[in-house]
Amino acid sequence: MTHPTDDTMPLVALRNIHKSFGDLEVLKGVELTVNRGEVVSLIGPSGSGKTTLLRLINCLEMPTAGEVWIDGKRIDAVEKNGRIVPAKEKELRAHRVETGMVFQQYNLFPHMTAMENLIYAPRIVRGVSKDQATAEARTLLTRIGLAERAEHYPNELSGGQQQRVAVARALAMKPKVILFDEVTSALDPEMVGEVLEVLGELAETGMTMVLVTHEMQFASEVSDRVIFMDQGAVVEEGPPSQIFDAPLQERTQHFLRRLHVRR
Amino acid sequence: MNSTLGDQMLSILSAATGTLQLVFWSLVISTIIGALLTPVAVRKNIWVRLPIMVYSWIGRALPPLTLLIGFYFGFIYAGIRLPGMTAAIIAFVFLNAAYTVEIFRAGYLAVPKGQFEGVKALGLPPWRAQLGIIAPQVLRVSTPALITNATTVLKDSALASVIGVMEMTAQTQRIVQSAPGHAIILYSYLAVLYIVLCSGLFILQHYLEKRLKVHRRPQALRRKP
Ligand SMILES: Nc1ncnc2c1ncn2[C@@H]1O[C@H](COP(=O)(O)OP(=O)(O)O)[C@@H](O)[C@H]1O
Ligand SMILES: [Mg+2]
Repeated sequence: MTHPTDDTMPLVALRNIHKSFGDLEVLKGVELTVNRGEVVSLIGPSGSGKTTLLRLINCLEMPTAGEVWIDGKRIDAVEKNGRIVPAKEKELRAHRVETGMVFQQYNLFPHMTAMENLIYAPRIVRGVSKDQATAEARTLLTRIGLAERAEHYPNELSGGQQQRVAVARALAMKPKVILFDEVTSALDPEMVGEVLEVLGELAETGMTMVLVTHEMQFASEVSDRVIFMDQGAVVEEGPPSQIFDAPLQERTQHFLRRLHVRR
Repeated sequence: MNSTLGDQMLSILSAATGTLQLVFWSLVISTIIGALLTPVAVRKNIWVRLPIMVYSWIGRALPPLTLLIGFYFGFIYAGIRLPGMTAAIIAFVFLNAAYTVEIFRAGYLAVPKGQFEGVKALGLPPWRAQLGIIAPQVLRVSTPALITNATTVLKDSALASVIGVMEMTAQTQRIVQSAPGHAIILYSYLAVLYIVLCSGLFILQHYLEKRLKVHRRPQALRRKP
């Protein structure tokens, strides 16, 4: 089930995704495509299914119905002897290596220094040598402005610094796309800026990014496309100028008005 | 017995090797067994972990003395004549592994959910994730409780004299019975020996906590220094 890869094909394609937890249907037929180098922001009220959608991209959740395609390859299911069967955990794992994720709570490994956090998975999963992993980690730490904190443990770093290390840890795996789930929501206000700055610089490098965020100002600055979700469905999507300045849908207008977004 | 006080103390000290042997092997084996049972004990499926829950429940419910006598005579009834020391180690392993698996289970459940998601999102193979990321965090929260347990085993080891194990309490009793003259001194000496051995465990705890960075709480939102 692979098509020849070409650069015009979307990197991420979710097709008619339905997702239920028990009786609760949280995604009701969602389509999502993300092109190479594109920065897409998901916005919408709490409980609208943004996190669930994001977690479907790297198969931390599996769809109840629908298809997940990454880089021209179906991920959630594979063809075996002419039949389509759910992918095995091992196949999903190989796929997760290509889709980095950064969480709201950082989830750094507390018993490892920043440097160890960065080199652990590349060495095991990618088979990179210790010297090479260390050199690459140093470059990344320099990029996020934390080179001199390499030997510090997570609890010796501020929330903003921890989250920057978490971004670097995802980058160290050299993923094709990185998913960000409200990565500034757990931070003290004065630390939000430093993390957004790192994300903004990353967007400029041409990294493919999908962000769930409540930082509307930031979303409007870095996104190529903004998707507004409500009650498990995509209500409206378009360039930030459309979504933030001239939303077509009543529900989008209502949501943004409630957030007091004035630009 | 016409020995001097010095000789008597020396013979109690040599019986301490019996205590040490019993405690050391009981702790090492029960920690290994407890660790091996933990992955099953934390499974969601109740039927998979039920045998371990039942074992842990029984192991913690029975008094150590009952277990010592039970194992010793149980083996004799089964036609196996074990040295008292071996039977005592088996009894203490049975007892302490039941506590150990409970401690590890609680430690595992205390690992934040985000850690499991973190290793998953990085595509780490499960056993590398468990050993390299999860286990150190389990060990880290479990250390204080494990050491508390170890001190209990050390003190309960005196009970092993009922099945003929030569350890320091039994030896002291034997000397005092035949020559009561130095009873106070010898029992005080015995007390000091227990305190010294226990201190050894506390030093081990201190060392482990430093090595495992017990005080490094995950995700402490500390301000910029
Ligand atoms: N693992 C789960 N089990 C049950 N319900 C869940 C689970 N994850 C999310 N939900 C529910 O799905 C809905 C959407 O959640 P979520 O995707 O987190 O929304 P958002 O990120 O937009 O706030 C919510 O009602 C939430 O309670
Ligand atoms: Mg969410």
